[in-house]
Amino acid sequence: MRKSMFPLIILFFVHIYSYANSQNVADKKITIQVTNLELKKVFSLVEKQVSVRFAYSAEKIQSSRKVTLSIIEKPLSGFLEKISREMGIIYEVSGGVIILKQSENLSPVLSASDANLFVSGLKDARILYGTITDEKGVALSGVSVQVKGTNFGTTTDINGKFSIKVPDNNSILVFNYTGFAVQEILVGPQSIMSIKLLPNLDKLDDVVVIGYGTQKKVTVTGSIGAISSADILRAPVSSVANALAGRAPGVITVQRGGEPGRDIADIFIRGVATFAGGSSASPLVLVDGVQRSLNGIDPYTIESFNILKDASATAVFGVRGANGVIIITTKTGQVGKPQFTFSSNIAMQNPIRLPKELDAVDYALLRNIAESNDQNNPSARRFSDYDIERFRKGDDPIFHPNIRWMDYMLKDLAPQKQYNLNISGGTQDAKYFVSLGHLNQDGIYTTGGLFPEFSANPNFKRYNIRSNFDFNISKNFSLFIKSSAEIQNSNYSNSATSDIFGTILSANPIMTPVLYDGKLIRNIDGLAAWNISNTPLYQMLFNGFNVNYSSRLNMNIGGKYKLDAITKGLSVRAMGAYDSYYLQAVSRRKQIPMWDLRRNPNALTFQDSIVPIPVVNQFEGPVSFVGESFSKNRRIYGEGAIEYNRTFGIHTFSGLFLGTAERLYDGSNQLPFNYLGLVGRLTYNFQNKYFADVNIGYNGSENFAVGKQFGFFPSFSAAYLVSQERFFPKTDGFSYLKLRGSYGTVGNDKIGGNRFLFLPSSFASGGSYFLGLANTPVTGYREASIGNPGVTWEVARKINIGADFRFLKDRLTFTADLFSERREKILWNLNVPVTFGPTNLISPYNIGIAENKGFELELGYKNTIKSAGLTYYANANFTYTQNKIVYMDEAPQPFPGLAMTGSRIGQPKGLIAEGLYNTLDEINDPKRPKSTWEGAGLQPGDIKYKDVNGDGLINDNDRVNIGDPNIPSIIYGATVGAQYKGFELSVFFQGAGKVSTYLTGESAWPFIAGTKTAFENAKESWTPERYANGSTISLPRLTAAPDANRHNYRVSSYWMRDATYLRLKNIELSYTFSNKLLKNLSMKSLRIYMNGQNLVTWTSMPYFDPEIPSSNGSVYPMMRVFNFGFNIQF
Amino acid sequence: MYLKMKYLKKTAPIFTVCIFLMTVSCNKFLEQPNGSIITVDSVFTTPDAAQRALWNVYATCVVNGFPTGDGGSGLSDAGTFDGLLLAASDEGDQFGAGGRANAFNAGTWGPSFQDEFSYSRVTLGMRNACIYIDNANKVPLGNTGSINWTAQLRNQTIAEAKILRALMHYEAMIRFGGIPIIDQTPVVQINNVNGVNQAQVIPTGVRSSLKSTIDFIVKSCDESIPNLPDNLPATDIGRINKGVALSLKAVTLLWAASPLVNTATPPISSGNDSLICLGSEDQGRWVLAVNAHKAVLDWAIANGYALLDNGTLGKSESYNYATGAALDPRNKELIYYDKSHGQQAGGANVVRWCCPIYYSWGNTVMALPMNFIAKTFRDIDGNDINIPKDGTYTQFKSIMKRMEPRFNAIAWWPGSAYTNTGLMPAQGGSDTAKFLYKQKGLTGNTVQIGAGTALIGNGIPNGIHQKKFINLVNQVNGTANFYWPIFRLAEFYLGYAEALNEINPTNPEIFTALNIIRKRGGLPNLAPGNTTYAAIFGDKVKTREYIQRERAVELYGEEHRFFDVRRWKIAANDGVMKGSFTRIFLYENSSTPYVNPTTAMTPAQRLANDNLLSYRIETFESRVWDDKMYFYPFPQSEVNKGFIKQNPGW
Repeated sequence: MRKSMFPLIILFFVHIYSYANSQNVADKKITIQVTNLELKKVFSLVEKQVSVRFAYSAEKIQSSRKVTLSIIEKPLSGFLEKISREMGIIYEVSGGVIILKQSENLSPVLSASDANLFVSGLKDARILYGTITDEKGVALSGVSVQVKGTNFGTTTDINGKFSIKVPDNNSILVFNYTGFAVQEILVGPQSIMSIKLLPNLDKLDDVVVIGYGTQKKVTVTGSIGAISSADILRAPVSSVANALAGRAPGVITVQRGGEPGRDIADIFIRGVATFAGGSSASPLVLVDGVQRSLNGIDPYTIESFNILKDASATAVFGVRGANGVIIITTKTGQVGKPQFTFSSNIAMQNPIRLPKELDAVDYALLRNIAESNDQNNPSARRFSDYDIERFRKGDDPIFHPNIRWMDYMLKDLAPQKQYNLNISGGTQDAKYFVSLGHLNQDGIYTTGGLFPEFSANPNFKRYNIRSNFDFNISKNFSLFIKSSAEIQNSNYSNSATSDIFGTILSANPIMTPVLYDGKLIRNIDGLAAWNISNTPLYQMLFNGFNVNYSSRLNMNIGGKYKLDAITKGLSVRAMGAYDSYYLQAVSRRKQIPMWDLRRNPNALTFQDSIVPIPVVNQFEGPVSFVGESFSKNRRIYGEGAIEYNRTFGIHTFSGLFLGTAERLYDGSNQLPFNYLGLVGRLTYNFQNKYFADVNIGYNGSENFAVGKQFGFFPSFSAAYLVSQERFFPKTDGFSYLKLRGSYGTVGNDKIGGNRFLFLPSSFASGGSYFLGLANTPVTGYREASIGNPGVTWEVARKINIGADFRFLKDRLTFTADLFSERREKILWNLNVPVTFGPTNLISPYNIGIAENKGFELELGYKNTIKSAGLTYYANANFTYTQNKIVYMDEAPQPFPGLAMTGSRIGQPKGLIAEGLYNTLDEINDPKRPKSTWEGAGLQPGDIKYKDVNGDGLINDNDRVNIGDPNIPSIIYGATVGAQYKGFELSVFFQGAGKVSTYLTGESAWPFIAGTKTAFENAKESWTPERYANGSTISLPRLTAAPDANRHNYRVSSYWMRDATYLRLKNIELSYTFSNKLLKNLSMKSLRIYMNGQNLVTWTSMPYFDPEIPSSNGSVYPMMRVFNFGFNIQF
Repeated sequence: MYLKMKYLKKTAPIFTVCIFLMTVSCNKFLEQPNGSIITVDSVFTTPDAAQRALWNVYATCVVNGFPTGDGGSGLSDAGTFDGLLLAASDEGDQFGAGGRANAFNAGTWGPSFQDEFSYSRVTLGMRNACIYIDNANKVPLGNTGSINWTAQLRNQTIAEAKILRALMHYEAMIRFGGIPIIDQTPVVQINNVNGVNQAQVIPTGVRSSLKSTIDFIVKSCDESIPNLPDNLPATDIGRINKGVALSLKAVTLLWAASPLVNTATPPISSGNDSLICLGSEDQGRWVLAVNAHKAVLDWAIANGYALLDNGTLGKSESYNYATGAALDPRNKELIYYDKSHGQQAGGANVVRWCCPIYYSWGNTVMALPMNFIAKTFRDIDGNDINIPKDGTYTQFKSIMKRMEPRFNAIAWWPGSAYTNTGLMPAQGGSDTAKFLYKQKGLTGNTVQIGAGTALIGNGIPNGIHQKKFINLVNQVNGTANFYWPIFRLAEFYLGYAEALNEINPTNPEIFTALNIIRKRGGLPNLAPGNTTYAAIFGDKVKTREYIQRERAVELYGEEHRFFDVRRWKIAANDGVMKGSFTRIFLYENSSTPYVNPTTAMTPAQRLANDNLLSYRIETFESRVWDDKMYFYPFPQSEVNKGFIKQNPGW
């Protein structure tokens, strides 16, 4: 953007005509289109067109002045008149010679230094030439160029060049290109243009993808969000789902762990509005119009990522739309020469927020305290001074080991690589986009490869191949083919991840030296009570490993036929898709040799005193086959549509009528899953000011009784572009205001995964009795299921009210949406008395009701300081949702706090902890409520619970809401970024609020089962001394027997953790090299970048990542990722 | 023509799309399962299928006191979760790890902790019976070849289902009092109440009064009796006959006449007394009980039922066989017994949990408290026994050897034969000498005398083990070919005597009935000239106590005592369901060690060896009773649903 780079004088001498039969030289027509060209050079151009010669004093008339001219087939005299009048030059035509002089009488209209000669005049139509590039100077092909208010239009060629006939200098050209801001430029006198299109902050400002189509953003009446593919690519993560958090309002994600290939975040659009269980709250995900998994997509192939949120946007999906819809569209080729783009990313992953486990000395000291607490005997202990001394000195690492299991088992860094090569190009009639992608992500186990035959360390490899083609068969008929293959190979320990981490969180530091002389050690002599059977290392290895090979083939073929011949604006289209998935999972194991270490007291040397003894029957075995499983499914999808879109003056109508059919064969021997549906849409736009849409989905599946299979889901929406009104003040300060509203119903048929609940009550063989002296067995017919003939989908009634604002010449944008949903007919179990009989056989009924309300805010600011070459921007979004169980036929509760009705979905219930009892007086106070779980009595250092119902007892009836559900109610994100010269920096923060995680078991309680380990905070357990000193106390008094049935470990607010967090989620710094340099390397562009994910997390949650599920913490840790990458275009 | 073609060409795509849309709207696309479902209508189409529905009623309306492994959610009544119910009353105690019987003794059972009775299993049985009763009429009459489905057969099967349904109501009633009566197949209705859809079940889950519950059971019996056969062919043994219906009616009316409910004042009054008592004391209820028992006895005599008193087996083993050896052709005493299990394999739960010696993985034993033995059993002459607190092993043996025959069928005492033949060779060798004693005095270590698998327990579990039923375990392979007695003829003689005494204690039929029991039990008749007879004849209270004691012996371990002490409202008495309970243990009384007796020992050597041991009777636990325990608590999870009114005190 530097000025020195800017004035490239582009001279295009295109064509020159002259009329041979012209009599008068001055009447001869000339065509000159120049920009910033020296006057003398213009004269020589004229000389070449017309047989004249100019005579002048270069100094007098300042012939090196630069001028911009656009003359198309005009008489020479006109040109001469102009320079005479506007530059103060006198001319004389003498035969074939034109003499030019400086006039002494006429003062020039323009100052001599002004380069822009002939601003006015020459008012007739002419051809304008230009080149369009992006900010980095890369030519853009296929850009739509249109003269505003006319039908004249063209697109740029493969070099980004265009030519267009413009009526006059006051014409305005509109440049329109997907992904870039629409730009309007006054033609003026210039005949050659060099245009740079800027990617708008709101990159899809022009067109958004909606259900079964696209819509101009200005006409959108519903609530539709978008995440740019550039933002997705900034996150060096394996799954697109993990890059979404905080990027757009309304998208709530929770990533429960970081294991390669198993770390896919859960997505909830505008939160959760159903309690039907399972995946019933998940949104519908469509890739290129077909329900597909989000997980295997190569992010480099994503053109757009749209989120449909309100009823007007989702009603067309009928029984599948209530949880919101995510629509991903993959890239298509652009007209032009083949463009190769290669991206390479090398990253290191690093586990974040690991618990700090006690070392051996602290473990022994604190365990002794627990022992004396339990025995109520201050001198009771489990570790002698001698043992503790050994731990402290570390002089007996075999029989007094000191293992930090987190360090022992986990590496600091694990690599991750991602590559993509894609080729895009084509002609107006055939375009292609072909992409090859590869991801390779490694796990963080250090000792996963202890045996050369296999690795227990996770590894996830993905190969993506995509080829998308678009063809224009004829003027009216176009076709497209999109196909992709995803191949995944992954390797894991055959032990469940939760078992491996459960064991790591359990293992105490002193139980084994782990390895001795290359042998896996189980138990050691001495400290007998600490013997264990599974060390974390053994746990990870002994089940062997499993390898998964999966492949997924997706294919879409579709076509569109314009029927303007019947009536203008009418077209039909159809699309078919076929997906096939196959998974082979093989597990193998190897018997891992285990050893115990015995001490030989009679040995002469220390080395000799260590005697490894093989564990009986635990010899090393070969790798053997354990099992193999297969999974496969295929989906066939078809849709056909009639579309109509036409403008009559100030009225614009569009209509869509579409039918869909889908069939999924799910491998196992069951009937296919089917969907059938019709979609209707009518939109009306008056003067681009008032908009109204009606969207209708009518669809159903085989999962409901005949006659009750199809649901009708209408939605209505309207928008009002207030800023188009005459009365709206035309100021730069407040430039845009649009009000939107929608209401409609949508369905959700993900009702717990049950099929065919409508079937009549059925009987099956069962119930046996023995008859006669011979005890002849007879078998009965027993009831096997009790049907729900009226089973149906959930119905959501959704209201959305929104407004879009733009201020400061559109630099500042603000969008707010208010939404409210009532979800009815949630499938839920009835409160049926046991007198019914087999209450477990009754199908659930559609009786539940829930509400979900909230709002979304989105703020954006972008500014470019041209003089400094600096562009900077900031975006922020905020989502708040709150749901409530309105009705669930809950059994009446003895105390209101126990009821789930009226609570939030997933609301945890527990006792309220009010600190700890600190003194014996408090314990012995006769007014102290007695606890059901106090056993032999409470002690100072035990938890003080609130007697909520005031009955003098602490029991389950004192439970009330504690904390928040495990899915956040609040999610937000904020980005700041700047571009300066070739540098670009973006910093992205993301956070979540109103969310809790219940940490239990190993993740919170020291010394479970008397032998498990404890974290550093065990040092902050209650002791009389710490209480007396006023030290921080973060745990109740230590015990060697924490158990969920004991007083201190009941579900209570004491263990409930606020999982609110703020993350520095992503930073990216990039540099794009200048074109000049690249030309020598025959590259079109080169960009290098560094980015990082999950860099810093601020949370009050101790030791664990705030996104882990409520659990005992046995989850694979979340990863921080540092990535270096480059992107080259040829 | 050309124009037409042109028009067609232009509109062809529209037609294509329309055809597509029409195709997809075809319902066949949405394929659903069909034909593969067995519905209630397909079951009740043929007699064969309908009969299978009846077998399911039998399979789910079960009364079984053996631990079957079904645990708390098991069959309607499967012991006390790895134990026998006898251990939950003064008849016994459960010793060793596991089992829940002791919760009843310790008073720690309750609405959330009661593993004796599964109400959900009972209601499942009731429902299955209703399904049969409500649909059996749909089956067209006719001979299908395998079954000749006549109106008479149809009515007989309906009567069977009605009796099973009533039996389930009875089993629930004697525990809970008035219960929700399930007289038709329960259905769920969704009712819109104030804008929300609520589930309602019909019949409702609301408790009926105790009177209605009793009436429903009696009415079910009365309706069924005419349609049931007196006897069943050998291939149908295990099904309900007329005697079962008569028996159910008799026990229901005896329970209704008993002091617990035949009163205006329940143990704890709560304002809903009609749920747990009949509102008044009415002698007429005893009359109904007498008549009903008379009907059972008359029917039994007419149809060849009699107490098993076989000379070859002897008194003790006759009694032993009578209680469980249902398929033994000599046994004509069992009117109805549980056949939801066939012969159980060796190591079956009943053996595992209730047999102290058979398998080393047996976890518990059932023991007899000494105080119960002393107050209940008699010696061979029918006199009370006196066991001093302390004595020698020899003295102890001599007392035990003089016990009445039924005691020897029930109890295994140190030094006695374990099985009826005295041997279980494959498992423990000669067990006659296998017992535990303490070495070197009262507080010494417990050791076992005798070879083979160790006895369980880390002390002397009361010294006297319960072995009723266990005696019938096959000695060679451990299989259990015995069946839980539900109605045994002896019960009705005792019930007849009990009810008759309440109306007229001078009726000689009281003693006629008692003597039938005593004769088989090996005790002398009560008749003029007998001192006991003289002491109690004509005295209603003394006779009642005598009958109660006789009942405790005769029906020992058959899940009667637990309910009888409630029915008689004597559970709160000291030594019944509360107070100190005692056990006996042996110890070396000198520094000379006791040795394993061998066959080589002379009688004198044996005696000298025995005299090295002494016994002592000591308290092993103090039991807790609360009057709320006269009735069971409904499961808390059910009370929480808001339909059931909990019994008072819980």
